[in-house]
Amino acid sequence: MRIISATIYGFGKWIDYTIDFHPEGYTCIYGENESGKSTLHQFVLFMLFGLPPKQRQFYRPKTSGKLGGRLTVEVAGEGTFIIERMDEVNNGAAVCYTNDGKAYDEDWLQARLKGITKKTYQSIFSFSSTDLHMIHNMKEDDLAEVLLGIGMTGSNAIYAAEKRLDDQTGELYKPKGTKPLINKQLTTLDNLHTQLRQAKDTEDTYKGLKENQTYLQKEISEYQERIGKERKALKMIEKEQQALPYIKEYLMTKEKLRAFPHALYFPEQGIPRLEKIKDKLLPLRSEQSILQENQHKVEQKMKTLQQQVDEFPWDQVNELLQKKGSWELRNKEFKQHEESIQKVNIKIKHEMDLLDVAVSYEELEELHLPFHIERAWQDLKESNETFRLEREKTEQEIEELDRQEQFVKQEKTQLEAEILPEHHQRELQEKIRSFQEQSLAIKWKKNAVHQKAQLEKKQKRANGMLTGSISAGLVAGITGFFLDTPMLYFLMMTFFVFGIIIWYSERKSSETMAAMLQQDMREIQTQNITAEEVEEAAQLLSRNDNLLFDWRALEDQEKNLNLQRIKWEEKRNFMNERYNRLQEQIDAQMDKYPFLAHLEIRFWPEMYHRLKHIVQLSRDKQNIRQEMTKITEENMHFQEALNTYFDCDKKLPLETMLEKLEENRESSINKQKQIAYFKDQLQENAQSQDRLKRQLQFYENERTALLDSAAVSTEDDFYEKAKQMEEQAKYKKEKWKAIEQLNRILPEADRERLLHDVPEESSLIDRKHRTNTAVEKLEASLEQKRNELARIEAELAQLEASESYSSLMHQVEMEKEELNHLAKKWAVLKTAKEMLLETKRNYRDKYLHKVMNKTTDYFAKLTGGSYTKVFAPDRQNSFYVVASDLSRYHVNELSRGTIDQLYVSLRLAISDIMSKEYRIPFIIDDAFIHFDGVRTKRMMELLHDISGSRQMIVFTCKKEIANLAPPSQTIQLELVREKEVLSAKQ
Amino acid sequence: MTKQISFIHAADLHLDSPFRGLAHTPDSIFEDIRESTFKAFGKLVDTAIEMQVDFVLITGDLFDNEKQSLKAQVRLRRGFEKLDQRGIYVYLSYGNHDYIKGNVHPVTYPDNVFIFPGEDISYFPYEKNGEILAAIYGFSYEKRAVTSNKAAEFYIQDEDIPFHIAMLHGSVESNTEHDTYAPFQTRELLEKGFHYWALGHIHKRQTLTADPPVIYPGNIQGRNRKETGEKGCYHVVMTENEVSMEFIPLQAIQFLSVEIDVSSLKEIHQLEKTIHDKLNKMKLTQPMLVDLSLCSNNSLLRKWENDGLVEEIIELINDVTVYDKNWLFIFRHRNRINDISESIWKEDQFFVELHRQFSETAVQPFLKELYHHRRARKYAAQLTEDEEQEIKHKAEQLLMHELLKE
Repeated sequence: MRIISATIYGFGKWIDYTIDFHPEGYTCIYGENESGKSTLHQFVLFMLFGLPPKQRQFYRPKTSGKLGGRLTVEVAGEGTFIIERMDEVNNGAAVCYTNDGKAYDEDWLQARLKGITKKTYQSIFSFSSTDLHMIHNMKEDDLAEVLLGIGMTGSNAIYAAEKRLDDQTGELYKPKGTKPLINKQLTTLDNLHTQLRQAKDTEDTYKGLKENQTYLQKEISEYQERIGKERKALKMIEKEQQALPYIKEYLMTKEKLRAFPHALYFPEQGIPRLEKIKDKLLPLRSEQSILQENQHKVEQKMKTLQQQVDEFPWDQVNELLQKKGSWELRNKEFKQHEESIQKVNIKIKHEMDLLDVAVSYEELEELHLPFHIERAWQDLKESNETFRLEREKTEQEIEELDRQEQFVKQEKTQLEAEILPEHHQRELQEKIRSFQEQSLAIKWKKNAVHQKAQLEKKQKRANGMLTGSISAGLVAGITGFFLDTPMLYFLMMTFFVFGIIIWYSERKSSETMAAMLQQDMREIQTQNITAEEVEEAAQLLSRNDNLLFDWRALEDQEKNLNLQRIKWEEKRNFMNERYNRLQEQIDAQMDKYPFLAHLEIRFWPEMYHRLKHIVQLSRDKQNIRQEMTKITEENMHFQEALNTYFDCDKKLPLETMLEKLEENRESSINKQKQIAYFKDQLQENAQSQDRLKRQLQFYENERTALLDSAAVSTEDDFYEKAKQMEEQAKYKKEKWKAIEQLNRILPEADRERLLHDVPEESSLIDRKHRTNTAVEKLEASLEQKRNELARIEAELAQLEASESYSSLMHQVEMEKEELNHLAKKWAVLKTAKEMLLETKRNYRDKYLHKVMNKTTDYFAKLTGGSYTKVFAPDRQNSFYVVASDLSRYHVNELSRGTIDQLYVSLRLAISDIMSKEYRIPFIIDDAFIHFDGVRTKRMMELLHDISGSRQMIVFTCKKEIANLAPPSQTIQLELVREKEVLSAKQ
Repeated sequence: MTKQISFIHAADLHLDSPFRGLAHTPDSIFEDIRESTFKAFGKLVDTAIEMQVDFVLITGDLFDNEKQSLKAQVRLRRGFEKLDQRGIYVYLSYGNHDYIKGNVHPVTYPDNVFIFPGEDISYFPYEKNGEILAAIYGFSYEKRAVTSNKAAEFYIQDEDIPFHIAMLHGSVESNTEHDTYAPFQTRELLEKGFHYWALGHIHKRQTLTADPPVIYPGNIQGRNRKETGEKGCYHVVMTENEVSMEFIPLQAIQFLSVEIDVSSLKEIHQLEKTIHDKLNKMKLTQPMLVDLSLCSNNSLLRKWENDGLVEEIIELINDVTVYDKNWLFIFRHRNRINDISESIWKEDQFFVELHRQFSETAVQPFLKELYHHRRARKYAAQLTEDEEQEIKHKAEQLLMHELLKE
């Protein structure tokens, strides 16, 4: 890579400045202090790697707004391109233009720079005098780091990666750890595996169980077979036991049969046949004897009856019984009459009870009520009523008058007490008159007119009073007339009188007053009487007058009342007389009909009707009684006739006698009938006896024949023979039966065997017992085996149904997969880590060696062969060198210049070795301050040599250094500027 | 009347054998996974009954002796009993996984089951309506391995029988992918004149030749990420003139491999949506176990992965999909990232050295402390050559990324 030219639009003090670097590779840029060398250096770095905004601002020109520029660069194999950066364009990002006109971005540029960062660049390819001190303390690792720092990775990234990988592997797995994931997973698997093995062991029992199952099944069938055999034997024994009694019986009957004669004759069914004949004979004989007995009894009875019938009085009895009909009719009639009388009695009693009259039945029967009585009683009733009403009214009137009179008397007595005595009155009047004379004399004139008016007024009032009294009197009169009240007439009169009196008195007083007035006008006396006293006296007088007036009115009233009373009393006396006459009539009726005495007159007419009805009823009763008497007489005659028949004094009831009579007749008729019946019986009996005789004869013959045929003469012999026959047959039958039973129980072979060799009962029982025990034992064992089998089968079923092994197996597999997964993850990390460490080690070893050789070369050249060898630092020590005299020197034992030279050598060597491929330009900024002239010259020569393969840009402020380079390759900054300025002017 | 037989051909049931490559399944689906082989077998039985076949052929590896649960054989017996009720016969041979001497559980099968008793070829005649219609030939593994060429020992015994069917548990001689047992050449089988070769052992379904049919039906339930797609059996109807075969899927859970390019994604939440969208496109008719590959050409995916975000997103997705009846579970995911230019290996001295180191150094010694560890060795599978390479590759990628990240 080579920088061809730089054009600065504005950067620090540089504005619109272009610098071309020498194509030969070496360019020395000379300038005084402050001439802008370092700024130019920074500009190149800026163009290549960019600058952060803050640092850019530092380089912003004071005089120009522009910040930026372009750098023309040539890269081997790529051609020439231009890097342009402007502060304001895309935040100072680079735009690269190639010759073919294409534009590229920052990333493209990075690729061209092969990943070298500014830091790397500065640590190797660009240095100044200050950088050179670092070599003093450089140790092995530091140097390695420098080496690693070159290239795209950088040591930091390597360390960071190493650390991360280490952490990550540690998180996954530690050979002795427990926490990391893989260790945990292993523990999980260990646990699961244990469980799995247990499950497996459980499942493995299946085989054993299955074998057991087969074995047991076989055993069970063996047992079953054995039990079958034993059972069969048992059955045989039981059969023999069952057969034993039959065998014995067979043998016994066989023996018995041997005792009977071979030929025995007896008629077929002999006994039943004989019995049958006897059965027929027996009833026939008994029947015969019964018939004979009957005949005798009947003949006896018939004789007795005949005698009785002949003695009975037929004519008399028939006559009496004919009369019975009419007697019964009469009885019925009599009963009806009795009922009628009872009914009438009840009716009469009922009516009498209603009337409640003291009349006996006898009286009733004789009572005679003519029709006019009814009218008489009616009249009496009405008169009595009228009289009673009138008398009541009169009594009331008189009573009322009494009361009024009493009242008036009281009033009068009261008033009398209040009226003043005569002398007192006069005194008072005198007093008043005196006073009036006195005062009137004074006031007369003054009041004359007034009094006159008053007087008129008084007259007027008197007139009014008169009119009012008259009208009130009229009202009272009219009312009295309408109401027919004598009191009100009297009141009317009173009003009239009162009205006239008042009117008169007023008039009088007013005349007096008028006269007085006249007097008063004339004479007026003076007296010692006060007005109050006068007034009091006047009052008293006036009151007394009033009272007097009232009293007189009352006295009039009293007189009037007396008059009226006398009138009423006369009326009463008249009425009493009338009443006495009426009472005489009534008493006359009562004498005639005493029961009326207790009855009010007003009920008499009704009484008449009722009584008349009762009397009628009583008449009816008497008629019925007469009828009844007649019937009784007729019955008496009948009774006598009957008594005569029965010839007895005792009076038996008629009914009983009639019944008896009928009974007697009936029994005689029956006896006649019975006699006829007995005759028939006797005839029948005789016929039956005949028939029986013939039948008996027939059966007797039969029997004799049967006995003959059995060759016996008596029945006893016959039976004896029959018994023998029966026994023989019985034994034969028993024998046959025993054989039959045996056949049923046993097959023929066994039967024959047993008949020849009859077993003992006890031995059979013993055998049976033994076999039974054997069977029981076998069955118990079988049951045990079966239980065992059932248990095993249950276990097998459980194993077959169990999922645990299968489930665990899948789980283990999954966990193993998880482990594999984690293990692979770990393996990747672990591999990466180990590879990185290996690479680092190899890389360092390989390149450090090369770098040190090259450093030795350069260092020897620079020192003119004073030092022959440079050694890399180890862990404790920094660099050391070997001088030409073979003495060793540590870096800090060297002079300052020599140290700088060593460092430059090292850098050149590193760049040489590490970046052979892409030759990055060196920029050296006044790094040779401590070099002496000779070494400076050597240095320059060396740089010049190197610049053949790599561009070298040296900034210096020393003329002698600038002069060491050919002038064509030297750029003097002041001059340049001037030149530029000049050219700009032109 | 033409003579006809019909049967089901299945193999490699591997009942109750655990799935491989599955860690950390939720409880809800763990049961489904565990039951899946049985469920598939149940379907096999149901299919045989439904199709009213004459018999069922099962060519070996019904279960694994090494991981043998009693349950496997009990379930087998139950299935066979069901077939017995329908009068369907079962002819079975034992293979390298269920070899006779390794079977610890003496479960007895019903009378409709005919088992080839040993390693010598024998045959069972199949009789229908009083007529022998078919002869079924085969052998069982007595020990773990049969390495001789058994195909050569097959011969037709009775020419009068109309159909001859051979059951062979083994692999083609040239097949190096699997353990080679009872090796044979396809050509060799054709020469024998059998009407049908019912093969077993290879889990991937294959028709070696169609006429006569030489067929691997594959296993009935995929049990690792490589056994993807439908798994099942063949329903074969054979007359004297023609053979018809129909594949019938039986699997209860399907393995599925899904690849998604996520280069264009800028934000992690987009990743969730993208995966969701992709999975939603698949109409689920049964549970699915998904092996997800994410590829990207930038380092964002690597960053997400290293920050554990991808894992989180997958957990989120699984949390949603795993509870459906036809659930879906992403059981594994891997990333393919091309974000580092090749040139860097040549240009940087350190990387050059690193790369050299990786290519020259074996990884085994680094991993001893785990893989040779007493406890870990018991459970962890030893790494295969491929796995070592994979680890190396991953480690290198990881280092590059670690070193280059700012």
